[in-house]
Amino acid sequence: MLGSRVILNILSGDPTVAQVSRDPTDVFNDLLTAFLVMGTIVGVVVVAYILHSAYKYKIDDTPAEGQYDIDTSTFADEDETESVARPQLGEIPSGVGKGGGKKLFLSFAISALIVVGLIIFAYWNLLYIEDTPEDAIEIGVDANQYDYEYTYPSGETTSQLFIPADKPVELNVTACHPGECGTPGEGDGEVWHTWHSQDLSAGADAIPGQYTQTWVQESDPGEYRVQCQELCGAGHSSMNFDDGVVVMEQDEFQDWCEDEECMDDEELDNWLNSPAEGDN
Amino acid sequence: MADLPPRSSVKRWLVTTNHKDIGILYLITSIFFLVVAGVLALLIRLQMLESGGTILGGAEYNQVVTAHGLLMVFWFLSPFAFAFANYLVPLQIGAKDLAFPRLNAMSYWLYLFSGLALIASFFQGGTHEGGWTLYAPLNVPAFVPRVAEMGETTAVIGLVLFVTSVTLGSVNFLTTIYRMRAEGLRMRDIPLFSMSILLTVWMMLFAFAALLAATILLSSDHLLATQYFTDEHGGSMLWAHLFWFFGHPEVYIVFFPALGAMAEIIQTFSGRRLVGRKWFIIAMALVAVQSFIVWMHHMFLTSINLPIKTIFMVTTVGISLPFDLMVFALIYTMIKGRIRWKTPFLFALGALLIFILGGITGVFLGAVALDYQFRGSYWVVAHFHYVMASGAVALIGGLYYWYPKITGKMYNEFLGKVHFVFAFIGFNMLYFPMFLVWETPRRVFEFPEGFTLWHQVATAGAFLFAASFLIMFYNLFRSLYSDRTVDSSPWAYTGSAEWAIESPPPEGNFPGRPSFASGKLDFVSDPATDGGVEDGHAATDGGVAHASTGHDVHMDHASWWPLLVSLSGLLVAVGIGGIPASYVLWPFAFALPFFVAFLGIEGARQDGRARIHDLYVVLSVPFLLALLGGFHFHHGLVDGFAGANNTFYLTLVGAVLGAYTFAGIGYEKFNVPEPELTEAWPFENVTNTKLGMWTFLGSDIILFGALIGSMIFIRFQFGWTDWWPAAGYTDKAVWPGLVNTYVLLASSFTIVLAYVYAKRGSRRKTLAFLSLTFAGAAVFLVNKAYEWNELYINQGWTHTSDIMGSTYYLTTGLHAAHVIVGMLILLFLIARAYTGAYWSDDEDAHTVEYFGLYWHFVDIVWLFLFPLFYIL
Ligand code: HEM
Ligand SMILES: [Cu+2]
Ligand SMILES: [Cu+2]
Repeated sequence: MLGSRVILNILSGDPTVAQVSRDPTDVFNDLLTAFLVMGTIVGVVVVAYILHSAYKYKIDDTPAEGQYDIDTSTFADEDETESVARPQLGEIPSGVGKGGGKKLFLSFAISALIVVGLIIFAYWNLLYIEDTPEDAIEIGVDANQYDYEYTYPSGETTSQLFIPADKPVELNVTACHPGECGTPGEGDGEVWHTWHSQDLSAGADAIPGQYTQTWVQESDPGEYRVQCQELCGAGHSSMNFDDGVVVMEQDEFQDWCEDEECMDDEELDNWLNSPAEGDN
Repeated sequence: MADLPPRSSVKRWLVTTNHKDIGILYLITSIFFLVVAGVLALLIRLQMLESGGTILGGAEYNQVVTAHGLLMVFWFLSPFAFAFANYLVPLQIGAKDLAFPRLNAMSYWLYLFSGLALIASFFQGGTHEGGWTLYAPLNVPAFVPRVAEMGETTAVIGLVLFVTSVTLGSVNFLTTIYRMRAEGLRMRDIPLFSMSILLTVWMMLFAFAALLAATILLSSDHLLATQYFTDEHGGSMLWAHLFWFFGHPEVYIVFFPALGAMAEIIQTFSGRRLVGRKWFIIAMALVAVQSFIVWMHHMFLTSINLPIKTIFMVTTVGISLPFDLMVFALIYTMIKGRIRWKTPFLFALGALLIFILGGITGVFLGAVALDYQFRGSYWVVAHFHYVMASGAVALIGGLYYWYPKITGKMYNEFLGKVHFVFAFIGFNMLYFPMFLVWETPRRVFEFPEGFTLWHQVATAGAFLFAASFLIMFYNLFRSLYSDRTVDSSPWAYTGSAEWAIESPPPEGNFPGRPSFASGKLDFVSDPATDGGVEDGHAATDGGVAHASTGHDVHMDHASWWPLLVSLSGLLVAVGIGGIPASYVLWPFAFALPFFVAFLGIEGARQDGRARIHDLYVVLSVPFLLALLGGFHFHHGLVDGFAGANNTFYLTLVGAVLGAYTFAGIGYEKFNVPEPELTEAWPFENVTNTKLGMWTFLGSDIILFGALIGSMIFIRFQFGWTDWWPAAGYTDKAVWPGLVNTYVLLASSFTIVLAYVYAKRGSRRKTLAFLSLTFAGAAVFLVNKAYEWNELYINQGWTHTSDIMGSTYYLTTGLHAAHVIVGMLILLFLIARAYTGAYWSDDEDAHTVEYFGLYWHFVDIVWLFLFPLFYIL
């Protein structure tokens, strides 16, 4: 299968280096920046144009004698000469208002191009995000009211997510009671949560009985915040953990994992020592 | 009762069916809910002053957030728009009233009472705590603290009542707009506000049917302990699909009327006809259709796969483009305008500005990779407040714009502008910071330290925004008593018909029959003559203008029944949540014999006593006794009634009142003559009632479609072929279903014959075939009862046993409920036919036909259920 990552590499003109360890955070930041820049430009232009027009065509709105609005008959002369269709009481409106059509479609076309362009760019990045790196190991994330439990390949569970720097980790996210996860009926008794780490630009719904995937990768060791972004009950507000993810130097992680027996030693070795995807 | 008391009398407001009165009632009520929901919003913002909260606990906070969302979206924004719709649509299209005035009054009372039920739920241990999206399975009793069980259920039932109100309203507006336009006013020519309402009610008709399905399933999970949304195979996803299939159209439903108002206001105060009017309308129509295929953009983070995400990303972005065009149309309308910066204009302009920001940030959300992070964050909160509150702001503009029309007085312009300035600043202070601290998860009150300042700015903005409305209340209230009277149009460059009549408009709306036959609005004063008809021909879309007898027929305007019917709904809504599952259906069962008796009693009062009425009263007694026997078998007569709680009796009273009021409203002689000489393309050849029936059935199709779809969805998730074996059936008996299929088909045939003989004027045969239809339905039910007895009692396979049981009993049960309703109507028809209705008058015979439409529909539904539940 031609993975989307491959397509991306080809498209980028450099099949080997360009996409090396682009963290989800980088992708998200690039995208957001692009959208913010274009969004701001479009917004500022349109808003400025509106204000300008509203001001430019403002007339003296002093009401006519005994009235609350202007007296339209003072414009009778102008009306004769100009081609603008003014509303008239009791008219049948359609088919009369001409003008402005061309401009309308032109501006529509331009804005449509911008939107479509942005979305294509976004889609391109989506394919990257959707394509979990081959060398990622999978860690289960089980959300419950109101905590997370992480399950390593060995079956070892932890309450924080410990991962090595610069290594992709796939998260397999669901919601279940601790201790009942992975068994029939596991979703019983749990509700919908999400697992989100804004710091790592990753997130997935945690739905009882369903599995959703996302992946994380981070180069800077440290603690990262994890939070639930779906209302899940009275404790939802405090379902956030400033040290929910702990990114460690790789050798540090290796020690930790060997202590905790988080995965098979050989597997661990292979994983940490494998070259980053695309490096070869 | 027929004529209306004066407006100064309280009674007037309880019995009125006049569209302008109802509009005012909607206006006041929706503002009341705005205030309630606004106070809740201020509580939210106070709680957000610092991380960790200052005033509310977790559960209370969730209730406040939930009720705020529900009230604002359902009980404020849409009804606020429909206040104007009620008041203005008939005026704009040249109709005297809506097509079904009594139904309109019923929509209003159901709306008011459904909101009161929601507020009442706060006092029943606590209202719903799962957010306005009511995600599953947090929305089922298993996850609700015991104290709040009743309140949670009441909130859901309140929603069901509200949906009923909306459905009736949609049917009413669709019929009105299609069938009651002034002569010469083609569909494409109706004013923009009416056009936006037309598209809104189309969306409402279908979207709210899906919500009805969702809330019926949810109510059933609450009341009867079925397992739809706790089902681990897909209960959560099922809710999300059902809710968002409704929910996305809903966001346009709340916005469209505002768009229409914006267009009219900008047009008037720019003194320029809307640029690209045709394209504007086409774009709106496109959005209305497309709104039904974007719902999964609310579910990008769920387990749906990439191809589906891609499709929904495309449709989502696609739907933003028509909006683009509409925004530009509004902007270009200002060019070369003669713009007066009056209060309504300022509000419309402000709404446009904030809508643009909301729209742009919506495109961010449409980019799936961004939405992965935004989903469930304050970015979404900021986005939808920008767009939705843009709608509210535009409608406030509408309020200032039409205030002089409705009251006959001009508001104070200076205070209006002050209101605008504070509202606009307050609004942006409130919501813009939310973009900056978007990483805050929504619906929480704990956030990283660094966000505190911005949340405090938002809170300050909230208070400013709220305070600005005090200025408006003061202004609008004081102006009522000012001497600034206005004539027909205080504004220059108005176009639509409401500005051509005095302010406030007189009782009958127009000083004659409105007609556009000459190419512009005239009020034709003579009674319709043949000449008028010919004029009408010239200007139609190829349709025929209607003519009928010229003289002015008496029209009824007052009825107590809409209020009373809805009141019974309120009693049931606040009571039913407290009833244990095994008692829940009994109040409604007991109401049936009462209904039969009331049919006899009311029938005797209205139509003159006849033997059939005596028969009904007499038969209701053994019927009731039989039910009491059943109750005895189930709970024990004495123990059962002694053990039932207060809410049981409250519901019982509500149900019996319902039985009485339905009989009452059925027999009431309420004359609403079909208007003469209207533009009714493309429905010239049907009556209002028939079109109403069609549209109603349209929504019913969606209801059953959603129920059947739910079953199929869950079955797929479960494993299609494992389904029945898991329920313990390898071999289910097909014959009961087969027999019932034939019985129902036969009864469809007999109802047609009843109509045929009614038209031919045969009393005996009309009665005979109506009775045969009733008998067919009865056989169906008996057979069904036999089958259910076998499954439920003998085999012990109940609706709570497993998800198969839940879907089976609920879906076929809802169909059976439709059959029972049909039988009740048949009883009514039989009584009326007995005393001379239908067969003695050609027009009247159509009533049987309309019922026939319903009955065929019920049969057709069965044709889908039968294979699904018996064969596959
Ligand atoms: C420019 C066109 C628009 C686009 C592309 C758009 C896109 C979106 C998307 C993708 C979401 C889902 C966000 C998420 O939950 O992750 C969303 C949420 C929402 N949008 Fe929009 N939107 C647009 C216009 C509107 C309009 C006109 C309204 C209503 C007046 C609206 C009201 C809402 C609401 C209420 C929600 C949040 C629902 C909830 O989760 O509670 N949007 N929008
Ligand atoms: Cu949560
Ligand atoms: Cu949506």
